[in-house]
Amino acid sequence: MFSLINYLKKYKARIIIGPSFKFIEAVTDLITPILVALILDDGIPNDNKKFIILISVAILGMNLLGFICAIICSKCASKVSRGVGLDIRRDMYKSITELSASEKDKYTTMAFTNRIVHDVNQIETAIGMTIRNVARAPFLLIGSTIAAIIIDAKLSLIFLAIIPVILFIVITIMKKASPKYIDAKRNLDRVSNVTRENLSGNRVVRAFNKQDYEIERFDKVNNSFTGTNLEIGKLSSIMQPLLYLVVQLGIIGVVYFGGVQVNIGGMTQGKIISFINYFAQISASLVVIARIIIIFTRTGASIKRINEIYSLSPSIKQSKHAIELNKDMPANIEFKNVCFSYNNQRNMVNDLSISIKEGSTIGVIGGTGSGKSTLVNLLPRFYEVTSGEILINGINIKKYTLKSLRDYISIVPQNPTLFKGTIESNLKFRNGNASLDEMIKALKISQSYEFVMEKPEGIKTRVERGGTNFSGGQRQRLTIARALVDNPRIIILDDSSSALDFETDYKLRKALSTMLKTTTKIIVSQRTNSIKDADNIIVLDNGNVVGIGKHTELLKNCEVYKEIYNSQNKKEVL
Amino acid sequence: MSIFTNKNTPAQEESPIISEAQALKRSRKAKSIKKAFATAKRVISFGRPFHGYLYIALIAIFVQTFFELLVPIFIGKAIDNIISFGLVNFSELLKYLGFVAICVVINVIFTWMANYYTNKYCFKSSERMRKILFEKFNTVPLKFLDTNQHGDLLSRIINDVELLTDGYLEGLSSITNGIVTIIATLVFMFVLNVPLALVVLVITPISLVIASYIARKSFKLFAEQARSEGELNGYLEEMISGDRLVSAFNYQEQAQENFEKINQKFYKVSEKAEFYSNLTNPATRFINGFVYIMVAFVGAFLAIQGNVTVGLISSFLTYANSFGKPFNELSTEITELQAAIASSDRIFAILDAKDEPSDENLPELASTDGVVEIKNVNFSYNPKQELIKNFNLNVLPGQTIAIVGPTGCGKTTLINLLMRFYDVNDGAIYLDGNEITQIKRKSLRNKYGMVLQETWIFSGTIKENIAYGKPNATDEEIIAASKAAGADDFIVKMSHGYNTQVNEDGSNLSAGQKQLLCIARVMLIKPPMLILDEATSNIDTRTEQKIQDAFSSLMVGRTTFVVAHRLSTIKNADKILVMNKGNVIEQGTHNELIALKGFYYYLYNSQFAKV
Repeated sequence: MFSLINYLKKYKARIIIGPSFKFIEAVTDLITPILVALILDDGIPNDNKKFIILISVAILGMNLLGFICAIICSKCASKVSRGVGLDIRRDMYKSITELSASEKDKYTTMAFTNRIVHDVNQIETAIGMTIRNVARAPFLLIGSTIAAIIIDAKLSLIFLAIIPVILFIVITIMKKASPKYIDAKRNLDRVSNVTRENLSGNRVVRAFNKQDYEIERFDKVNNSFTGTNLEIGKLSSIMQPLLYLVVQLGIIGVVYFGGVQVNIGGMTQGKIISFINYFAQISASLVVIARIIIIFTRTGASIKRINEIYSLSPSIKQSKHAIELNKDMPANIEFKNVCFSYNNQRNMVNDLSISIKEGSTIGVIGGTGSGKSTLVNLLPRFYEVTSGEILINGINIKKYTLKSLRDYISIVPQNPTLFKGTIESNLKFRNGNASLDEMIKALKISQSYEFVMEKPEGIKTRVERGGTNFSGGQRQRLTIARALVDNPRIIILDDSSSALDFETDYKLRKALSTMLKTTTKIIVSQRTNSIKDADNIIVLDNGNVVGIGKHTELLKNCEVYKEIYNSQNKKEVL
Repeated sequence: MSIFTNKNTPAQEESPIISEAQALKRSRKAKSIKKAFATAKRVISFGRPFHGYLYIALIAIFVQTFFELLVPIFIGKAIDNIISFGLVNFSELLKYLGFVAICVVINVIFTWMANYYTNKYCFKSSERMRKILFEKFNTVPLKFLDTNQHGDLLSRIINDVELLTDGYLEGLSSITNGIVTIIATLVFMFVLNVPLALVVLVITPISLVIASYIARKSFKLFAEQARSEGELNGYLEEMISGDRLVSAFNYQEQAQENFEKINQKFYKVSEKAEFYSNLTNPATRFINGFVYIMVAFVGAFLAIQGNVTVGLISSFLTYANSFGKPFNELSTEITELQAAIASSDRIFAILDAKDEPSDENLPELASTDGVVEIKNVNFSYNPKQELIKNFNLNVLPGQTIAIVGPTGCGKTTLINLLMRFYDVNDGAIYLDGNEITQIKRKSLRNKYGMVLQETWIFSGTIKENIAYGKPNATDEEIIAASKAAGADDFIVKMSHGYNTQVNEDGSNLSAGQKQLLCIARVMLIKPPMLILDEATSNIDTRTEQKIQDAFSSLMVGRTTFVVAHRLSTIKNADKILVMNKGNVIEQGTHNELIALKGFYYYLYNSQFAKV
């Protein structure tokens, strides 16, 4: 459970020191008008020059003191707020990496990053603002009010009348505006979405001669974005003059009733001027308080969102007595009556039993959504089998440590993702100490060696985020190379050669079978050509295993396999 | 991002049209005041249709500022009528308070007008700016879009326009306000009392120095913070989206370590940025307090000599405050202005890009028989790197031309030339005997129906997506086209059938379904010629079969260029173009090419070789 208090505890001292110094600054602010009034009321009428100098120097000193105190408080505030943010981000990231796939599937990447970056930022802002203002604004508000009451109780009634009016104005307008800000954000997203679509599909746009239509489409979203902005503008342009009006009316009241008091006796000119000063301070601090209130409501929402992350806990845990899966052990795999379903819905894998010998090649084939990827994701325990068991060397994979299991098995996912850095840093993703020979071997097997060496910088070639500076086929080959480094005992290719032309795909398969004799290979594919030489082929259809066997056997007795094969090869037969 | 930016590689091999270095140079140059004015003029020209709002806003600012400054004078006068016990002149007091009230009301009305019209002016101008930029994206040569990162172009239309509006346009009103306030306050103060005015005049500029120091410092830190936040965001996005890999490769600890480094960096810079930016308020208070004391101090001595009244000192105290404020605001404004200048340079770089040459005076090509002739064509994306050399081809009506070659061989280059997305460097392409550069682009492009492997579906309904090329198509036509494309089956199964909304990222459609929609789109317009790109990616076999069938029925009787992966397509083609490393190296029929025993022969055999 997320608790802000726990994070704040570490900074106890600063949380006390900051506002204390701010308090001193507020006191100096409050005293200044009193001292100025002394000059005006006592100094001038009595021609007391010494007194005037003395008081002026005192005010000057206080002013400087206030400034220094404010700096100290500001430093405390920024240290605490950003420090708390630092700690929260670290913990959040850690807990996210510890989650299992099934929990992560519930959120998009954006949802996670927005929480770590923006929601934590919101908390930081709120903490900083609170520390800087918690002493000052309410103290000035209360202090000014008390000071005003001391000067003249009746006159200060005007204050009391005006405080709720100001708060009411600020909060009403901000409340009205804040959903509009969300609208504006949404509309801006639409503008950027239409632009993004236009840029990415510009060839199609031109091919269909639809430039004018696109401009119209853009005009629509652009216009509604401007519309929301104008509405926000309307609200915000009225707030400042309205506040000015209220404060000035108050001042007129103060001067008039002050005049009445002076006429009766017991009030002076100087005091009226101080009164005006207090007035200005009250209205300024009211605006600050209103802003704090608004920020706090927003922070509440952020805390709620962060809490969602904290309340997730990894569903796949390592057992307490987990043992190491040694890489020297042969990679014999056995699936025993394995079933799997996401959230107890329809089975994505239904009662699969197969044993796979070390060094053999297993093909997995089936249509989209037939459960191929799901099946191979069970092996490194990204998901946990719902029933049945998976054994490596006769021991249930749940008994191995997650780390050793995942070092033992290497998976190349469907989506060829490279990380920002260099080709080398990507190859060293698993083992930072991988040798050059090892990397070159992996590049050669994956058919990447040639194009990597054609680059002027070889394996030091830069990789952009997501690998966008490589073609789809190159990316796939590099992800395969990455999986081969560090000699995994089992390698899983999850439809990872789809962007390769037939020739390269063929060379890749050949290299895998000749150069990695003792590695167990599991190849998921949509193409019968890619798996027809496998020692065993699993045919899936809607999660059901509809056939297991060699290519020639399946052609004879597996309808689904035959159908797939024919659709791909019938016309190609010479 | 389009397939073309990576597969066809102009993006890698060419420096983008707007390079960072260039932008930097521009912004450095921009520092000269002359340039800033020229830029300002150009920026303001965007708002030309809305200049009426600007004039109203400027006049309102003048009026508002003037009356705002009158208020302290009348309050001072009013206070001067409250002398002491029994000596209060109520008629004078009420008169001056009445003046105050009038000034306040006028001020409120004009402040509201100034705010409102400034807003309207800014928002309308930035809307127009975005519109002009968007239109530009659709008139520049495709090369511009291929060689510039789309994310970067997007950020110009979204973020830079915003920064520009904030800096120049909103800046315009606060600068006007500031200058008017400073001048008027000075005049008022000197009219009221010269020595006191001098005190304020001498001390206040100190606040300008301090405030601009803080503003500069925090601006720099904020920029750094934004960069650091970008890095944080980027790393998180990369690691969380690639999370399966992180677990699979046991990279968690290393990732945590890397993250901590970026996290620490962000902490350091954001802590500083927060600290400095929050110094502005106390510093302003400090300076204002100082001015306040000096006015009280000097004023008191003048009062003792009988030169000034207490009421006048009170007015002066208020002026001292309002004189200092614009200095603070202006110094913030200057840093925003700097950002705006950088943004405007980035925007102008796009606007200054050359458009596609005009085809206004070229004739339309009404119809075509589908005769394509390519004569002695040379082409390259980059002058340093030759690509297509002396390419010749004759295509008769209804013929099918298959383009084959290994991954990344430059098959799409040919599409680029046929559709005039790019123009040839030498030689010419003819359609029915007309050189394609001598007819309207529109009339060339509407002769082709194009289906690319990289499908493009926009966020709208299924129906809108199919009717993209023929918005006035009837429902019957749309359904017929989808049936012909084999798309009808899955469309009717969707929640709202043809009116189903496609998600912004198209995630409610599979890759194969998108392809079928794109085919239906072409089916609907029945173009005389076709450009097709066969799929190799993750499409399951049954859908792929449907796509093949759709392609075949589409090709009947139409001149077709097809980027082919399937042997059946290739063998049935009237002509096969074999491409490698960007160039056409062999052409002929299947049998001719096999007999040639060249590259095609090698490709053909490798596809069917056994392990």
